[in-house]
Order: sequence, then structure tokens, then C-alpha cells
Amino acid sequence: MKPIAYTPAQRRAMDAAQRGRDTCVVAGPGSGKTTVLVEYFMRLVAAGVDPLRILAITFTEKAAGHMREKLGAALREDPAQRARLERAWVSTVHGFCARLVRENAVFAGADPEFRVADERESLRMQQEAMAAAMDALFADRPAGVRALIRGLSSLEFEDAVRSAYDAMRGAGVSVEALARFPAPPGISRGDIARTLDALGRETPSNWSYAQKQHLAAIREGAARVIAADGPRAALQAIEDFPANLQKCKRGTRAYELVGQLREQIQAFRYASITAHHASEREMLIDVVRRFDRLYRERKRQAGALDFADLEEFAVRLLEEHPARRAHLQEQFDYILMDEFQDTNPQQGKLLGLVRRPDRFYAVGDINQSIFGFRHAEPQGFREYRDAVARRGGRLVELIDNFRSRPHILSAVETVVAGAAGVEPRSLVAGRKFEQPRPVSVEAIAAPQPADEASWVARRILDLRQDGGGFDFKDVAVLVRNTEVIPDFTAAFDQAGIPYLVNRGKGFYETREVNDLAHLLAAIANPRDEISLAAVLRSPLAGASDEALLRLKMLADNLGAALWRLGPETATGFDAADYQKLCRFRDRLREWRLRREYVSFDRLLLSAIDDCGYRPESGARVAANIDKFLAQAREASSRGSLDAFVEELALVRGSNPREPDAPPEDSANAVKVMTVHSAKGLEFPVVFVAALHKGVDSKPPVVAFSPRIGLGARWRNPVRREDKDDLFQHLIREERKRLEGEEANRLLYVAMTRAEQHLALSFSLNDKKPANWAELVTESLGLDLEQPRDEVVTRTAPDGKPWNLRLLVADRAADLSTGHPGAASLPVPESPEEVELLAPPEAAGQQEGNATVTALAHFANCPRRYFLGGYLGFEGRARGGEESAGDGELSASEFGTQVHALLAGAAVAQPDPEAVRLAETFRQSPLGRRLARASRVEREFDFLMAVDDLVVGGQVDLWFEEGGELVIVDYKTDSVNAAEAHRRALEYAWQLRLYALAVERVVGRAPDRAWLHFLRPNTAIAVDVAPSLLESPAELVRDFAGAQSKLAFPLNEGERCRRCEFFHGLCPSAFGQPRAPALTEPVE
Amino acid sequence: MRLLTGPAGSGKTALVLQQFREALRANNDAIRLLVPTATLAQHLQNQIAREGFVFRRSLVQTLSGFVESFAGDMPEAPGAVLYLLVERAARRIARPEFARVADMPGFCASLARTIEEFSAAGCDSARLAGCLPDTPLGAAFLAGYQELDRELDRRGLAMRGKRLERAAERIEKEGLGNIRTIWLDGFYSLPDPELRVIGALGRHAELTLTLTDTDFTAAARARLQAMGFGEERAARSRPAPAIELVRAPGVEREAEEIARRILAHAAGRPFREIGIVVRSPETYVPVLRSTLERFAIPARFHFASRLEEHAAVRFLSGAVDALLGGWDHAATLAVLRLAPRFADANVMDRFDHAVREQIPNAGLGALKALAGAGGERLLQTIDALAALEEWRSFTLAPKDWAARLQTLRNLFRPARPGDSMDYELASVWRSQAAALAQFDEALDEAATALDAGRPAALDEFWRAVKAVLRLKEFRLADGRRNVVHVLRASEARQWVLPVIFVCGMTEKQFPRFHHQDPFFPDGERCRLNAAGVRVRTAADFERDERALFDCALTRATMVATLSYPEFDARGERNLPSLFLEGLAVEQQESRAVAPRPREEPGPPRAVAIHAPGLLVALGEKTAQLTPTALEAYLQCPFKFFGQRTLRLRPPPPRPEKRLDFLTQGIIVHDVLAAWYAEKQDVTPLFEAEFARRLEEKRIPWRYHTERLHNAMLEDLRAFTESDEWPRAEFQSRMEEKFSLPLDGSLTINGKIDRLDTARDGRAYVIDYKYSNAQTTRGKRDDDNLLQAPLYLMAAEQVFGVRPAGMFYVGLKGGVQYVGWSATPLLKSYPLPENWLELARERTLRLVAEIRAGRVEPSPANPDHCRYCEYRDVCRVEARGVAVVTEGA
Ligand code: SF4
Repeated sequence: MKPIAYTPAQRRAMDAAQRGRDTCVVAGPGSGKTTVLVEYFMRLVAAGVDPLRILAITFTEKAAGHMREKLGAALREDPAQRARLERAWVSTVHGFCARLVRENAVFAGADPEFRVADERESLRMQQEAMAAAMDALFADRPAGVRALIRGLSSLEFEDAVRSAYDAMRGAGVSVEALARFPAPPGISRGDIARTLDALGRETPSNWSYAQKQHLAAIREGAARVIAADGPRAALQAIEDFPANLQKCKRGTRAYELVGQLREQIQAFRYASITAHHASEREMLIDVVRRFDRLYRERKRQAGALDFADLEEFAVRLLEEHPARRAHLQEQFDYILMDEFQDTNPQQGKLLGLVRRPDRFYAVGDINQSIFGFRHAEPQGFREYRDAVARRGGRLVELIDNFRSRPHILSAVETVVAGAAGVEPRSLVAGRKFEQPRPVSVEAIAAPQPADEASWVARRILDLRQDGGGFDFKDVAVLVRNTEVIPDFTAAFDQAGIPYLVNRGKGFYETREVNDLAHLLAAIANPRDEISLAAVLRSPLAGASDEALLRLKMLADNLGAALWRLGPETATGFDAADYQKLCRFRDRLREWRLRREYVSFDRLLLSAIDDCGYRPESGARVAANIDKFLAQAREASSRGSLDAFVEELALVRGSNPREPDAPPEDSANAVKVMTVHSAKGLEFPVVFVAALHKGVDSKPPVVAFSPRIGLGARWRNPVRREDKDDLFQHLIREERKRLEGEEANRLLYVAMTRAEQHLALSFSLNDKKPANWAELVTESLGLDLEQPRDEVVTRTAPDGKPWNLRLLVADRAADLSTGHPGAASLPVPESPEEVELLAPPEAAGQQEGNATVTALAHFANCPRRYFLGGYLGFEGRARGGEESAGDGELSASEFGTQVHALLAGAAVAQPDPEAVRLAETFRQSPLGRRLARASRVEREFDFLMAVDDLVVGGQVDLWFEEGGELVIVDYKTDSVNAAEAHRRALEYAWQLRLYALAVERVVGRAPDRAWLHFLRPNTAIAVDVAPSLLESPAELVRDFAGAQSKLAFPLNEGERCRRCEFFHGLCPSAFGQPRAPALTEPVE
Repeated sequence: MRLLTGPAGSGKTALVLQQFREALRANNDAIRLLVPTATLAQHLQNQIAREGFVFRRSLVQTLSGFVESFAGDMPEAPGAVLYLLVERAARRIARPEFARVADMPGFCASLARTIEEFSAAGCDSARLAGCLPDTPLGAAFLAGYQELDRELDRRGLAMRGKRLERAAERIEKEGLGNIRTIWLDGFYSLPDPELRVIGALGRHAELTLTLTDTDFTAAARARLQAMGFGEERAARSRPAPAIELVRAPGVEREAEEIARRILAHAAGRPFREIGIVVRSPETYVPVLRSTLERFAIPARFHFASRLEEHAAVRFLSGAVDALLGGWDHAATLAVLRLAPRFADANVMDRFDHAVREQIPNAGLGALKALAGAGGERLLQTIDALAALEEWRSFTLAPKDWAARLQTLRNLFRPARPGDSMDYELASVWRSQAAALAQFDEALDEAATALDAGRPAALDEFWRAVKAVLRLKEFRLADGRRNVVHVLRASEARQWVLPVIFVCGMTEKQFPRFHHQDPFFPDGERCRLNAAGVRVRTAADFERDERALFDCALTRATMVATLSYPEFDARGERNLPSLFLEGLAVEQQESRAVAPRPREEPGPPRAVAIHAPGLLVALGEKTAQLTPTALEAYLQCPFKFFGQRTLRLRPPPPRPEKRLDFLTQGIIVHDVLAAWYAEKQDVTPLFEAEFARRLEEKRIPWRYHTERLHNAMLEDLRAFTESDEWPRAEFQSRMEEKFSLPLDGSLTINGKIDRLDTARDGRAYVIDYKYSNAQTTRGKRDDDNLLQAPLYLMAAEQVFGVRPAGMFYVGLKGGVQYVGWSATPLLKSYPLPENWLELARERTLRLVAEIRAGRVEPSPANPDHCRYCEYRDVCRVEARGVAVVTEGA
């Protein structure tokens, strides 16, 4: 590998010798900051620092992974260090918090086995908690809630409250602290009174009579405002306040004072609204309080923490336990932090708790701070940078840009020069490009959004042809607001440009997810006609609209009609349709039988595989299907199908922020994405499109700012209009400022993604350029009056000239003709080649082991074996609470005792009856023979193989006496003599198998086998002579065959009456007409 | 005492088996072959039996089984019982350190786990007290452990470590009876209590212990040598398998790739020679199950699931929960849906909707009333539930509760198996039977964990049962031989198979990332080790992971395939496992596969109705139509098809959704009809009507209801207070229904909200819309507007007035009049020319189109699709739905 030539600034930034100083690296876009960070980590390790003593925090998982990958590669030659790296602390903030909290769970007050709830799950829990909180509050304090509803200017304030709550947590502000925010100092009555006083001291000598009249009215009005009794009266007085400056004499001091008075009185409205709605405001804080409590409770029950909890618990852990804090600070010698400008106040607090002085290394760039909506506060970075500078730490600026062509950098500098929120910092081109590119920046203005989109498409096609070597995959279209994406995708469709949209249409809206979600609903209950119809029309069933109509004519509900399909209702249906419906119905039945016993994805897969479901196939579709299958699989471990179907309906109904499954990078397609998701990425060609389109930055009806508190917009009681309270008023102003600044930085980030070519496009919509379009038009001095296509030269703030192609269109671009590439373009997301595999021959699916009893049962009645031995059912329901009373043994316990006594084992406190029976045997002729035996084996618990089957059994007793080999099996249940003989027939197989085992041990066949019924002490000989034996091998073969085929015929006869499954799970109707099997449909 | 060591695959087991066989041949049954797990024991037993030996099963045994006869008087506390005891111990000691977390299930689980670990390492609470490191949670932990030990003693129970110690003591003292020779094979970690047993065995029998090199650490060697073991090396070594490495895009595709390769192997070898080794069961077992089943590959999963997840158990425990919850209908319905014999029943489906329509509700009586005709079995089941009712009043001893609750399984009447079935269906039944049996066990365990002498109410006993159910593992025996074995990495040690797959080879998964123990972090563990307590340290974990991996690889005799997913479920790129770094093999890519479909998809079906019989039916169905229906058709023929022709109904809405736009509109209309008939305060009118509808639709009065209530009342007040309309000039008729024949085959039906007639005969049709001003204003430029002219037509022809105009009145969020009129009233538009005639022609044309079978989805305004109920059915991709604005 060629050694990398670092710039002096980079070398300074990665100098491990200076590791004992706090460091701040200000890293401009494309300046190689990741390389610097990784290299610095490596150099620390090289300098002898244990990797486990370095804490490295990145902003995204991706960045953390990237860092670990690089570190892993660098440490490959040192296996011991490499292995330790697995435990190194290189992760996102949340990854760090999760590990910290888990390993200190008891101190943090967290469940040590917590799981991290993802956004979807937290959203669901939040929504539930909010609904529960509102219901509970309403039940407790109906009047208060009513007042709140009436007072707030929007009925839909729950979402706003939740987002304010998120902001609070991002700032590390507790609900309790919320109530303690002081009301901002608004205009007071005193202020107004002072102005009024001043006005009173003016003598408006040169005013006309009418003007004087008006002035008097103004004074009176203002006095009424000052004197108003309570906020409502004040609001009324404000409403009635007449100041009309046009009716006053200009150019006088009094005129100015009236103006001032008018402004003050307008502003006094905020204070009056605040006062008027004071109790509602308290109620609102109560809503937040309850919500917070219930949401926490829900998470606690689910053993889950959300992302904000991770930060909060980590901070609390370190704040409340100084020893842990000291321990942790001691644990990390160095803390490396990437993208420091994107931390929120809570994260800032956390870092403050973890770091020791002079051990902190932060990389960031204020100009790339764009995550205000996630409550990031670039202020923290700024303060740190200034402190480092002040205290003589290491402050390094990386300004060389190794990404973009010089003209692109000049364009960026020109556009953002002087823009609020962007710190002036030059971008120095550091990358060498082999091919010159005279024009690498262009601006496109079109009349309407669709026209703009067509021009973007047109230019993509052109760029692909212009010899720059670009293909579709090199192009990214970045937008600020996803609402405009359909315009572009429509144009790309028209032009045949393949594309991948990141976060366009929601995951749940895609056709494939729709089909599968409805299939689950139809399995849950086919009477849900919408779902059933959706599935029937989908490729999963493939029925026609005619079929649906016919079906509906069979019954008033489609689902019910499906079960009515049959030969008698077949007429009228198209034959193919009828077949399809019947097949689907049959499959539906199977899925329904299994629905609670397999994971839901298996139901879906079986439907997909039935029909080879590949709707408009493509990698994205396949990925979406996989993603949905994974959700279904996960859900089946949590609850029933019904519950999942309900959850899906809720989630799908609430317009969730669930992105499509991630696209595969390999596709040769234009990527369409938001600027936010392009952060950290770079592309050869970038279109920053729809510059005219802003985002709604008005605060919602309830909002929070860490500097101001909780604000709300209320109804003005004296007029049908809404008004901010003092808090909200300030929040609105703050937001306007912050978002304006952040918007400029967002544009900066968007433009600096481009390596070789940057296009800025917008449409005018018959208006003046707005939002970014305005900034771009003005900063670049674009003349949009006439259609044109020309290359102009502009000068960057540093005086460098650069070229801009300006394209002002008055109509849509022509996408149909004259473009050699267009006709031969690949269709979007060409279907993937899927290999179809046939099912294998799966022979030999029988069990490898069996017991003698099972084989004997099978020989007597295969079905009985199936129900009892194979499936494991107990048969006849138990008769109530049959637990044997104290001291009494159940039949099987009793049998065990007798066997144990007969085997000579010690039995503590034997049942006297058991002792008696054992004695009975000892006194019996067999017992007396046993006493004389030359070889005895008791409780012979053996294994033997017959064919491939391993058979286990237990011979109660065998012995050799007088040259005879004898087998004995005891029975303890009481029977009469006739019954004993009948039973003996049933036990014949058992004894024959025992005989076989004994024969294999001894080397000769047993001479006799006895069944000894101890009650009433009858021994019955069972013939096991070899000549009479049916072959056990044959039995075993039948047994295996039945298992393999899962065919277990009934062997009906008298035995049925004693069988525990008779008249239950067995359909045998010995002696009666046969009853139908109950798996048949019921209606 | 002989120690047989060697690398994996060096034939140690083969040597042991050879000696074992020789003993069997010599009829020597004074021997034992002891192994660590039941699976391995059974595997060896079967292998020997298949070689033709007949022998006592006990000759090959697990170590736990073997010590049973020496420690049988001290039964082992099952995991769930232990957890419950730990939970109660933690509560009793009430340590301030644990105050915040003591009632969290995960806390008690970790506490129980760490205690078990200590116990298994031979460190009971007494020993720990002697060497407790100075750690912040040490004292609290010890207190919990001591309390638990006391409790176990009191109940005569023990943990595994203690039992082994007890057995070792007995063996040392009493000897082994007639046993002369013992082999121990397959062991790897050898914690202290096991070593003690081994030492005791060695004193009374000729003992051989095998150990693989990876487990034979220097420490192990020192300990074993000190015990008097003489080491022998096994030299023979299997050839190393070929290694392949595959990358797939995600876990699903990884599983498919494994299936594809298995199918390729299966062409030449039985399934049983193939194994899949899994290190992260939570991720891989479900997806492998689905995938192998999908490709019809028979597989045995050597994994357990959680008992509480099994449907039969959910049914039984749901029944008790529902009982304790007073038979809340939603909960009870969920239980009934799980009753096995209703899985496929139409009756149940209907009942389900009927119940949902009535939710919230409670009580079995009300439920029975909904069962309807044909629901006899359903009624029986409900009655069976009702019989549990009296349990609520009982106070019983835990053992009696267990016995009583064991009768619950009678509620679960399995469906009678039919004659034809497949393996999957058979396993459903098997699993039901097994789950019922394990449910009974769980009840007994719960009883064991509670105070035997203290009677309790049902809910108290039931809480313990639920905890047991949550913790208890469910295993379904699967004795099939010719199956692919899916194994845990730790269990794979015991297997040798020609073909092995090792999946999930990503960072943090394999090697698995081990978090520090919350009670004794690594530093403390090292200190404990130094004090002789061999609990595991991070270094041990690291070594174990490597050993597991080496072992997984060496299980294969022919080929080992390693695989990993490139992306995780959230789309983040995974890093390949560190273990892959040293392998010099070329990476292969997975291929996309699917099972061959049972049926190839047919050609797309025409979206239209052509069949003559159906066209006749369409004619009949459209003999009478409302203007709204026609407008629906104008918006989209498919919408009309779904809404009017098929009349597709969604499932019953949840209670909070029942006060939907339609219902709100009905209430507003009714209130206004009454108010207009007699001017009065609108509030009581509204209150009465609102309450009536709530009652009728069983809508609970909660916050959401209140919110809508307020808004509606406010809107109504705004209307009744507005005086825009010159009411005094007119006579009003309200809610006038009409039928207007347009031609011989078509009648237009409708209801005019209000018909205002002036003294001079001029009349205005008024239609209220409970929608916002903008929607109402939209009526003006709506190309699809048919209602207005048709209503005017009806006013003229049915009610015999002289129509002078038509007004829509939007009522939501302020009053908005939008209309057409002959005179300039309320900024109305002039009546369009030939309005009525054109509307008539258009109507007839549309109806002809409908009757010709046009049903295609073709929305006039695609923006409206997002509100259309049929948007999931029509397969039109709604545009711009779910737009996300980041940063907004
Ligand atoms: S969603 Fe649109 S296309 Fe589909 S049925 Fe409704 S109106 Fe028609």
C-alpha cells in the first residue's frame, strides 16, 4: 500500500504525542475526518494505549462499523489486540449508553435484561400511553380536561405533546422541571402605563380635531387595558383598543408613542393569554406528567428502554453514583467523539460526566449541523472549540477538501457567503482530477415542478452521454421535502431512468406489504371483506372481479361465501376462477388450522410459495417482503394472530415513519433521497432539487424549547382566533431563527455532497423564487426573466472565478425523442433471476426409537398408538380433582411400589397392600422357582435394535431355572380371570419382544413367558415359541411405514370399549354408525 | 485415572466406545459410560444398539442421571422454581441497593443466573461469604444468596453444584457398588463440583476421562494432574474439512442459501448427515424453521421455545386471566379464538365480529347472547368457562390449586385428527399434547415454589404460575432420524457430521459479545478466581467463543460452510466475524432461490365484468341509485364496485373509532332537523341525540369522545347562532325522502336535508355537510357533482316546487354556504345552463356504463385515493401517501 500523504493539518490532528491535551478538530466537508479519527485511534494504540481504554463515539451505526472495520484491519497482525478489539468501546452514543446501563443496571435503576425499543415500538407505546393518560385524566378531572380542550387551539394536540416531550428528553429536562420554567418577561401593564404617561405629557398642538379625538380614544383604550380586571377583560380591552396610526399626526413624538403603545398592547396579548389560560397550562403540564408516568410504566412492563431512556439512565447513573462515575472516568484514558456538533444537550451532559480533563478529542463542523429536529445543539461544540482555543488545547482546522471539484467548492462558497448560521470558512480544493471539466455546476429553473423534474431527468440522460463516464448509479437527487419526490419519479419513469427512492412511499403502503398484511387479516377472519377482497384480487389468489361478484352473490359476506363454494354452487363461475377460489379456500383452511402454532411468516411464505408470488419483482420488493416477514415472525413470539392483525391495522392507519427496506447499493440506479439521509455520503453527480420547496417550520400547537419551556397556542376567548402564550411566542421566534440557520447549513451539506458535478434546480410556480431558490438566485445573481441556456462566470468570495451553466426553461424538457440512450435503458429494478427448487425426496421420516409398549399398542391398534404414543394425548378427560388424598397412592404410584419391592429395592414406607402383593408373588409357584434360579435379572431395562429401530423396554423379571429360561411380567391392576385371559392376548406382543431381547442376551430363545396378574394372583402363560412368532422385524417395518406415511388405521373391536380414546379423539364407532371427523368444516 | 487428550477429531470417543463394546461383549455390566447431555447419551445408546448389542440403558448415562442415585434425597430445584425463590428472597432481604430494580423481572433473572453460576462453580453462599470481593453490590448479592440457600434448605431442594458435592461425598464414603469401570466422554468445562465427583469416582473405579485440546487449558492440566490423572494422547486425526464462505444480503437470504445447498447435498446423502450450527438462536432459529419448512427439508431443531408462547398454554392461561378479569369480552374472545376446534369455523368468525361490535363489555351471559344460531359448541365452551367462576372465591393450599388447575386442560378439547395429514399438522397435535403435559408440570413447580402450608387465593397462586410459564422451556420431542440437525454451537461438540453449516458469522454474534455481569464485573471475577472460585471471566468467554468456533468447524468431516448476512434487519451493514479473518477461502455470494410454486400464476385477469349473467345482476342492482353512489362512480368505477356492488364491509371498528365521520354527520343532521323544525336551544337537543348514538353504538365516553362532542356542539352552536340565511322568508321541510324515476329502468333515491320554500313558490334545496369549509367550497368546482342538479330535479318533480337554487352548508369549524341560485343570494353562483337536463343525460350515460360492467380503478382525482376505503383492494398505488419530511 502506498503511504498516504497527509496534509500538515491532518498530521497535527493525528499526532498521538499530543494526546494529553483536549483536542478539537474542525473538519470541513470532504476533509477526511474519518481517516483522521481512525488513524488517531491507531496511533494511540501504537503508542501503547490499551484499545479497551479508549472510548470512541460516532454519530451513526454505519460510522461506528466503518471505524471498527478499519481498526480490525489495522490490528490483524496482532491477534491478541485484535481479539480485544471485539470488546472495545467503539459505538454510537446509544450503543455506549446501552452498554453502560446494562453493565451497571442495578445502579442505573434499569432492568438488567432490558431491550432497546425501536422507533416503531416506542411510537406505539407512546400512542397507547397518551390515549390512556388522556382517558385517565378525563375520568379524574373532567372539567379540567374540558377546559383544556376548549382552550387549546387545536383538538389534535397529542402528537404535539409527544414531540415536545421528545424535545424535553433530548434536552435532559424532566417533567418536574417543566413546571419550574419561569414565564418569560413579557410586556407588563407597567410598561404600557409608562408609555401612556409619556403620551399624556405630550401636547399634540398641531393635530387636527379628528386626530385629537382619536388620540383621546387611544388614551382611553390604553387606560382600559391597564385597568382591566383580569386577563379576560384585558384581552377584551386589547381587542377594543383603537390605535390607527393613519389617524394620527405623523412626525410627532406623540405619533411615535402611539406606535409604541400599540406594539406594547399587541404584545401584552401574549401575557394576557398566558394569564387567562394559566390553569389550562397547568393541566397541560399534568398531561405531560401523566403521559410520562404511563409511558414509563409501559416500558417497564415490556422491559424496554427507548433511545432517550438510554441517555437519561446513563446520565442518572453517573450523576447519582459518584463512585461509578469515578470508576468510568478512570476506565477511559481517551475519549474520541465524531460529529460533536450533532449532540443534544443530554448527550453533552453525558460526555461531561464521562470525560476527564485533557483527554477529550472531538471532531465536528458547525456548518454541517443539521439535526436540530432531533434536538441537536451545535452550541456545545462551539463552546468546546472556544474553550480549547482559550486554554491552549489542540485546535486543528481541516479545510482541504478531497471530494469536490474546485468550481463546486467555489459555488458553495458563493451561495452561502454571509448566510446566517454558516460560519465563514474557506474550502480548499485538495483533490486532483484527471479529466478537466469546464462546467461542473449548473442551475436549472423551470416554470412548474413537473417541468423541473423533466429537466432533471433530461440532464441525467445528457450527463450519461457527455463523456464524463457517469452512469445512473453515480447520480443522487437530493431533496429537502419528500413531498416532491413523486414528481421526479414520474419523470424518471417517463425517461426510463432507473431509480431507488429512499423514504419515498412508506413501507406499509407498498403493494407487497399491503397484500401480505391483508392475507394475515383474512386468515384471522375471512369475514373481513376488505382484506379478503384485497387478497383474492392479488396474485396470491388471482381471482377476477367477476369471481368476486359471483362469490358475493352466494352469501351476504364474501368470507362466508367462500365456505359455501362447492359443486352445487359452481355453476356460473368461470371454470378457472372456480378452481382458483377453491384452491385458495382449501389453503386458507390449512393456514387457519395452523395459525397459532407456527410463526406467522410461515403462513405468508406458504401463500407466497404456492403461487410464486412475485409482484412487479425487484430487489426492493424482495427486501420489503423479507422485512415484513421478519416483523411477522417477531410478532408471533409476542402474541396471537388477531393481536398482530390489529396492531398492523393501527400502525398502517397512523401513517408511520417506516422506511422501505434498504435498497441494495449495487443497483445501477439514480438515488433519490433527502439531504438528511445523504449526510456522510458523496456522489459523483448531485442534483439538489426542488430548491423552492421549504418545510413547515411553524411550531406545533404545543412546543418545547430548552431555553424557554413549554409553550402552547391558545384560543383567544374574546375572538375566534388563536394566539401564542408568552412561551410559545418566544419559541416561535427562536425556531424561526434556528431553522433559518439550519436550512442554510442543510443547503451547504447538500451541495458539498457532489464530487464532479453539481446541479441546483427549482421551479417558480408563477411566483418569485422562494426558500433555497431565493438564496441561490440572489447569491448567484441569476436572471430568470427570459428562457436561456448559457454558461456564465461568477466570482467566489475569495475572488476565484468559476463557471455556471444557467438553464432557464419555459416548458418541460423533451424526454421522448432524439436520445440514443433512452430507448435501451434498463427498466427500473429489473426482476432478479430466481432459481426455483423442487422439494426433495424426504424418505425415512419415522422415529428412530420406540418403546416395546408403543410397538405393542401399534400391533393391537395403530390408531391407538398414534393418538397416545405418537401424538401424546391422554385420552379420556380426567375426572375432576382426582389428586389422591394424603397418603393414598395413585394406580401408577402403587404399581411402581410393587415393582420396586419385587425388584428387591428399598421402599420407604411401603403401602401394606403393595407389600402383600409382593409377598403373593414370592409365594406363588413362579416365585418359588425364582428362589431356585441359577441366573436372575430383575427390572431389565434394555435397548436393542430391530432393523433400524432402537427399541427400549423393561422386562420385570427373567431367570434360568431347571434348564428353562423364563420371562415374567407382573400386572398390578385387578382383573377377573376371564379378563385376564383377554388381556394376555393383548400383551402377547410385548412379551414376544421381551423374549427377543432376552434371546439376544442369552443366546437362546426363552422357553416360557408368564403374565402374572397379582390381583387375583393368576399367572397366564404366553406363547413365545419361535415357530409361532410373527416376525418383530415385520412389525417394526409396518410401524416405520405407518409413521412415514402418517397413516394409522383403526383396528376396531371389543378393545375399543376399553380404549381411552373411544368416543373421543378416535372416530371409531364400534357398534354404531361412524361419526365424521371433526377437522371437517363445521358449516 | 487416565486422561485421554487430543485435538478435535482425534478419535478419543472412538477409543472409549471400543473399550465399552469389548466390555459388553464380555458380558461385563460393571461399567458406565457417562456423558454431559441427554442428547449425547441417547445418541451413543442408539449407536451401540444399532451395532447389535442388547444392553441395559443405564450403562450409558448422563452424569446428572448417574448422581441421582447418590443425591436423590436432595432434588434439584427446577429453573423456574429457583427464579421464584430468588424473587421472594430478594423481596425479603429488601436491600437498599436493589430497591429500584427488585421488582423487575430481568433483575431477578440475572440475580438467579449469577447465583446459579456460583453454585455450579461450587461456591455456595457460605463459601462466598469467606471470599467476597470488595464490590459495591457484593454484600447485597451475598445476602440474597444466603437467603436463597436457607430457603432451599428449608424445602430440601438444591442447585446442581450442591447436588454434585453431595453425590461426591456419598461416593467417596459408600463406594460405587459393583461398578468397576467408568468412562467420561464429551465433557469440557469441568467446574469444581464435577471435578469432585470425578475424583470420587476415580477412587472407586477405573476411570477414563477424555478432553479436547481446546478445553485442556494449562489450569485444567494442573488441576487434573494434581488429582492424579495420567495423560495419554490420542494421535489419529481426521482430515480437515473443506471450508466454504458465503455472503448473503440478509438473514432471510442466508437461510435460503443454506437451504439451497442442503438440497444440493441431499441429492447424494441423507439429511441426517447434515447439520446447521447456530450461535444466535434468537435470530436464526425462527428464520431457519420457516425456510427449511418452506423448502420441504426435514429438520430437527435442538432448541426449546417458551412454554407461555404455546397456543394451548395461551388458551389455558388466557382462560384464567379472563376469569380473574371478570370475563372482559375482548380478553375472553381472544381465549375462545384459541380453542382448537374453532380454528376453522364460520360460526366463530361471525361471533368474533359480533363481539367486537359490542366491545367494551364483560360477563359470560352477554357473551352467550351473541353466540347465535349454530353455535352450540361455542355455548358449551362458554359454559365450561362459566364453571370456573367459583374458583374465584376459593382459598386453597398451593398443591390443591395445582391439582385443581390441572383439570383446566379438559377445556382444551383437541380437534379429532382426520385420516389424512402431513408432518406439520401432526406436529401441531403433538405439540398440543406436550404443551398440556408441561402446563401441568408448571403448576406443580409453582406449587413447589410457594409455601406449602399457606392457603392462597387464585390470583396469588396464578401469579406464581405465570412466572413459571414465562420461564419454562417448551420442548417437543422429535425422534426422526433422517433429518437435518439444527444445533446450538455449544451442543455441536457432541456431533460429527459430514456436512456442517455455521451461520451468522458476524461481529458480536460469533464471537458472541458478552456483557459484564451486573453484580460481579470482570475485575471482581478475576479476584474471585484468584481466591479459587472459578467463575468465568472475560478472558474465559473469549477463549470459549474461539473454542466453540473451532469445534463447530471440526464437526464436519467433509465440508463446513460458513455464512453471514451483509446487512442486519435495520439495513445496517454487518461486519464479518473476526473468526473469518484468518480463513484463506474465497467468498461466494448467495443466490436467489424460491421453492417451485405449486401453481404458476395465470395471465392477469380482465378488470371488467363481461359474463352475461353478471351483467343482468348488475342491471338489477342498479335499478335504484342515489346521487352519492353516482358521484362515487364518477370518482372511480372501482370504488363504486367495492362500495355499492360488492358492498365490502371492513371489520368492526374499535370503540374509539366508532364515532366516525359518518356517525358524526348523522348526529348533526338529526339535531339540525329537529332544531329547524322548532327553534330552541340546540344544546339539549344535541346532548340527547349524542347520548342516544353513543348508547346505540356502545361508544364509551372517554376523552376522545369528549373532544369530538365539544367540537360538534361548538359547530352546531355556530350554525344556530349564524343568521346568514334569511330563514324567515321560507317555509322549511326537513329530511324529505324521494324517489325520482329517470327512465323506465332507473330510479334516483335520496333525502333532501331541508327544502325551503318561499311564499312565491321559489324553493331552495339545502344540504348539510359535516365537513370543513374547504371541502364544502370544493363543491363549486367539482366536475363530478351530480347531487345538486338531481336534488333540484327531485324538488321540482317530486315535491312540485319551483327550484331556485341549491346550497351546501359546511358545518365543521365554521359555517360555510356554497351554492347556486337564480338570485344573488349569499354569494351564490348562477345556476348553470341546462343543468338539470345535462345531469339527467349524464346520469343515464353513467348508469349504462356501470351496467356494461366497467369496474376499473380509475380515480378522477388521485389525491382522494388516500381516503378511499378500497385503496387496498384496487391495487392502485396511492400517490404521495406517507410523505415524510425530515427536519420538519
Ligand atoms: S383508491 Fe382510488 S383507484 Fe382505488 S378504488 Fe379508491 S378511488 Fe378507486
